Amino acid sequence: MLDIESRGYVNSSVLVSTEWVANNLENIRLIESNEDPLLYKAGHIETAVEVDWIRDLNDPIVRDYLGEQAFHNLVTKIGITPDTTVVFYGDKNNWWATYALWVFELFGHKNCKIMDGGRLKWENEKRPLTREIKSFNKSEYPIVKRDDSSDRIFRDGVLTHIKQNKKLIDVRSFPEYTGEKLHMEGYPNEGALRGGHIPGAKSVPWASSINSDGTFKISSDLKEIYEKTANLNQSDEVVVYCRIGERSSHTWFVLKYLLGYSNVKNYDGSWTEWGNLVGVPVERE
Amino acid sequence: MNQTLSEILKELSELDNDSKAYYLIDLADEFIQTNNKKPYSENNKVPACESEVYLWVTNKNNKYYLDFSVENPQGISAKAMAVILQNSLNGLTKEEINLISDDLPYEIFGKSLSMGKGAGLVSMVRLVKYFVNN
Repeated sequence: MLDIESRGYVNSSVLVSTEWVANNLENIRLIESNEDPLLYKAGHIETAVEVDWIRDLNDPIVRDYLGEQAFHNLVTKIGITPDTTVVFYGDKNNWWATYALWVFELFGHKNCKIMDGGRLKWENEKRPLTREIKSFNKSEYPIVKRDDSSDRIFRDGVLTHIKQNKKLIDVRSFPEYTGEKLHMEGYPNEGALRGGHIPGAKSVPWASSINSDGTFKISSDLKEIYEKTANLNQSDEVVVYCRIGERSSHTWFVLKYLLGYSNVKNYDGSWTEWGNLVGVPVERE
Repeated sequence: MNQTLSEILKELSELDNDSKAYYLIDLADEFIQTNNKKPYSENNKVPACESEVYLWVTNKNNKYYLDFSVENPQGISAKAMAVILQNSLNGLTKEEINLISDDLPYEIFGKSLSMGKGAGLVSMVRLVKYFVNN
């Protein structure tokens, strides 16, 4: 596999290798975000803290992300300042790591990075894991208002987006896209009443962007997928969506950083919202 | 439900989330991989399980014994589930095993169980029942 710097990404600095992480543990804050809540406690990279996508990133009552005070409490608890370089990694090829990074960016945190290949690559390289949980001194971090305007879109925005014939990428599995299935293989139905996809959306399953070892594909391969096959252009306004916004945060990361798209928004309401909305258009094929 | 499983569920119900996680991790640490030779048959593979779990069920005088392989190194929950199933079901009859609820993983892991993990772990229980009934 080519070095990250040699893969042709527009913003290669947002992706770091396992080796880079191993050599910079003292200079960064590592955040592990997993789907499996046992994984972090069973062993994690030394100095890593856990940010759980349900407990830490979601509002406990309203379907929304944490508010400004909760974000402030979270980052100060784990010793992050506005200048801290935060590196995210996790299971499932960094699904939840990119999701956590996306939420951090809603609060304007700069210097966010992803560890290429995620937790599995680190483990496969036989790098050390520990069960010791480090605590950090409480840090200073201003209370920052969440900005949903740049990287997030809501249903009304999506309706306007499709009326203007702008681009959408559905990153779910193809049977979900066609409406054959209401949920991905192996997952229960979360109650979507209609199957199909948002009109005009192209199907590019999220995993198209990764290699078998969980690392991201090189830029030319990504362009082949997103630009030749899905007909995207760097200047397009693009909306990505999946089921609840987690898989699509992975594709958001690819388009925004690796391919340098300046206007990509994640529709986190995704199919669990759209598939239940009364009166919105749905396509099947 | 046999005594061992009742005890495990009672103990888990008395733990807070963190303690429950460590309890399950300790169980996962006890997991012993099967000695069966590879390649494993797809017939033994637990469907819809991301941890790539394989299951073998042996019948000895109408009592059943479970043997597992968890191929994904990140399959901590699957390993814990396998140990619980082995500890609580080994030596039981078909009738006794059929009393186990398919939703057992949700009783064990509770709210911390994600959708994907839940589906895979439920599949482990269902495959045990399928093997003892067929």
